Amino acid sequence: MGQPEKKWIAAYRRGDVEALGSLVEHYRRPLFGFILRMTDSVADAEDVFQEVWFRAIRHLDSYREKKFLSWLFRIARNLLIDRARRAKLIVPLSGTDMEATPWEARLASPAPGPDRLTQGHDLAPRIEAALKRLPREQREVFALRMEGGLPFKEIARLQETSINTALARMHYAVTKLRQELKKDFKDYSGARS
Amino acid sequence: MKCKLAQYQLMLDQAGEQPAWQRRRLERHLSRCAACRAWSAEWQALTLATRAATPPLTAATRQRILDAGRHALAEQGVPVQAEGANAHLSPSSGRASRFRRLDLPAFTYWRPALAAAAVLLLLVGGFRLSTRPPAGGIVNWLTGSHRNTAWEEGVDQQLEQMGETLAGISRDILVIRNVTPDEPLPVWKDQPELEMEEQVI
Repeated sequence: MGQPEKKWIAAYRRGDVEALGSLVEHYRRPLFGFILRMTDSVADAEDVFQEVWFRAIRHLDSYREKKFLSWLFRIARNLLIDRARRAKLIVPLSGTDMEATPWEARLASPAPGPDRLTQGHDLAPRIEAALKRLPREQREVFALRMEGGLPFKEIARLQETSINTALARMHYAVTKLRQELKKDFKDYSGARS
Repeated sequence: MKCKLAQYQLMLDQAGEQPAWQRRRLERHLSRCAACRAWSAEWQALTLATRAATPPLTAATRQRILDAGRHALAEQGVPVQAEGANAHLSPSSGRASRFRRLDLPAFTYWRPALAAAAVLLLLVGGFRLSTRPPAGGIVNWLTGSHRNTAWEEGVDQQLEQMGETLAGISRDILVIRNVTPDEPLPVWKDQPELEMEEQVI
């Protein structure tokens, strides 16, 4: 665990809520970015994000991992899986045929919500739409690496797989995105040069 | 190197997980392979475009997390500090925070203090080594009633050996100068007698 994390956690345990705020802000971008890639909308992502922190606050005493961010990602991943499972339990009551679809495929809908399409770089919504069409494991590796900035070794540990499998998933994801965004890449490269 | 392996290594390289020797192999491959260079460029573009799009967190969400933090502290019986009481712990203040409370800049005082302590330690250590007290204790040593320790006897033996060695060297010099060692050394016959006046105090 790095020095600022230690300091903020210790200060929060002494009763300093502002230190908790610093901790939340420090990890906002990687954690929120990852959750955004794995959910349907910004509102859903905010729900999951705050739930991650609620759980982290409740279990702060049991935190033993070396890296605080990896611990937060583990909580987020478990929450996302729980949400998908709950969705699976609710869906049959509505009478649709989603029961036949594995829960991983229903973690997020293939298309981004309207709030997501209006923000960021021009290429970003297209990447997001293309990402939604990827299998969950590939999307997760992509989000953990690109948004979370986690090394592949850590991603493999989170997914309980080998580093080669994590690399292969990322490679598949990038290859599919390249195919889908071929035209956009050319425009993007042209705009940047 | 195969292109797929090179692309795996490009991903590892970006994550900082690539050893230096593999990086050199990768660079050689990239210099020859246009397809992998294109793959690398698109990978970089993808990284930039993905990271540019993360929206900020709403204030309401942040506030709910802080409220939950306050609630958890209250449940544990920890008194919550007033807002602004620990502004020094904000991310921007960094390591200088402890010094800021004393209105001292970081690294101003502890470094010279550490250097002075090190010099003092060296001086004390050197003094102790050069004035090693005898086994009988410091009082005996000061009053001159101590007996030689084994360490001091060893030094005496070494001094005697050095004296013998020097005498041998001077004998060798006389041989080189064709002076028989058994003969008495030449004496300056006209050596004037030194007269010393008695000084009346």
